[in-house]
Amino acid sequence: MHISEGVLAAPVLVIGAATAVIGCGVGLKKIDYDKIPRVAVLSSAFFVASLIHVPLGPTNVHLVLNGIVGIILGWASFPALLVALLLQAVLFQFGGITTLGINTVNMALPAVICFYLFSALIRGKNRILAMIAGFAAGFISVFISATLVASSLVFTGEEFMAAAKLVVIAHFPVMVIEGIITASVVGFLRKVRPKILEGIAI
Amino acid sequence: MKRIKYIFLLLGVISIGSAHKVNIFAYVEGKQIFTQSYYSNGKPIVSGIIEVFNARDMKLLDGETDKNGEFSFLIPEKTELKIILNAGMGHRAETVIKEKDIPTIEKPPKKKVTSKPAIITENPKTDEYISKEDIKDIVEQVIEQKMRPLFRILAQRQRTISFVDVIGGIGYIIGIMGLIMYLKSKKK
Repeated sequence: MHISEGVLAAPVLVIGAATAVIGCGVGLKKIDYDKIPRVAVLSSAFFVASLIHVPLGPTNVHLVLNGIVGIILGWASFPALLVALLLQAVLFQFGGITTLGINTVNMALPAVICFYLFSALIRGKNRILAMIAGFAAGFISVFISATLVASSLVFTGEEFMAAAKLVVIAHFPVMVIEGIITASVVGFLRKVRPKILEGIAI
Repeated sequence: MKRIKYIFLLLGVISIGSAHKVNIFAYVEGKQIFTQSYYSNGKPIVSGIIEVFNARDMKLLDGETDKNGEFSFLIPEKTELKIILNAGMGHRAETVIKEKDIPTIEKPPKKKVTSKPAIITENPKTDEYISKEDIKDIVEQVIEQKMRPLFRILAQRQRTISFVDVIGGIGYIIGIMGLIMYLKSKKK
């Protein structure tokens, strides 16, 4: 999911970086003082998730968890994921510094989209419906991320449909697993600490 | 002593490139360059595309990794070689082999000597004396073969992500959190 250094053309990198800066700006504005630790915890979760490999499918993929980050943090996903991706780039050489912007957008934008799509259902009265929405958030966030990664690669000459197919198929097991994880996290948090699911950016 | 020097020379040749989940590891062995490509958890990259460029960014050759993630090629010319691995989905890694690490190939292609030094005794024409060059070649080949497991170990070492880094990363996040909280609390 992380695009490496030296793959993308400069315009894609610049657009990615600019979008990431805007997203982070919006995100930082929305974080209240007492919600900062929550952002940090989810940033850490995302940081570690990429080390958990899913040994299914044709290539090697790992957990992303941007669905959970999205439904809990909303716009604050941008700064949370930027920090996590920066540390992954520096410490694990996942992705890269020049691709930090585009990688942040590819992961955080789906998180924000899922926040708007599903947070109402997740906070709703019906528990089953909330968990289904949780599953959808986990599944769709990875799907959108995969599609965004594929579209970023289009400008480097890879054919969109071929690239998209490859990325989406490779991440299909991850989508399902993330759906299940997100659904159970939603179920658990509703029971234990429903306040967390209220979200940061409304 | 000479052997030790040789080993260090070989170690100098090893260069490692890494990127998210894909790594390429290349080393010189005789007239060939061997590359191993693998994901960060050690799984070999099958049919990854390898491209080799010279110092002037001219493409010299390309190929695909086999089922063990390996790809080897004859040294095309004595120049700095940039080896790029493209494993698809935006995963790319590169490694460079410096010009000084590439042996000069001036001799015409000669008979392939197997690694067994026994070849000397097997040679029926015993009247032919063994030249210094022959001994050098045989020694080089034997050493190279003995070095192979060492290369693999080194390659493997590169695969693991250290626990310290993971904890360190979480520490950074907590630090950043503290910093932001501090700045926000001042505003209040």
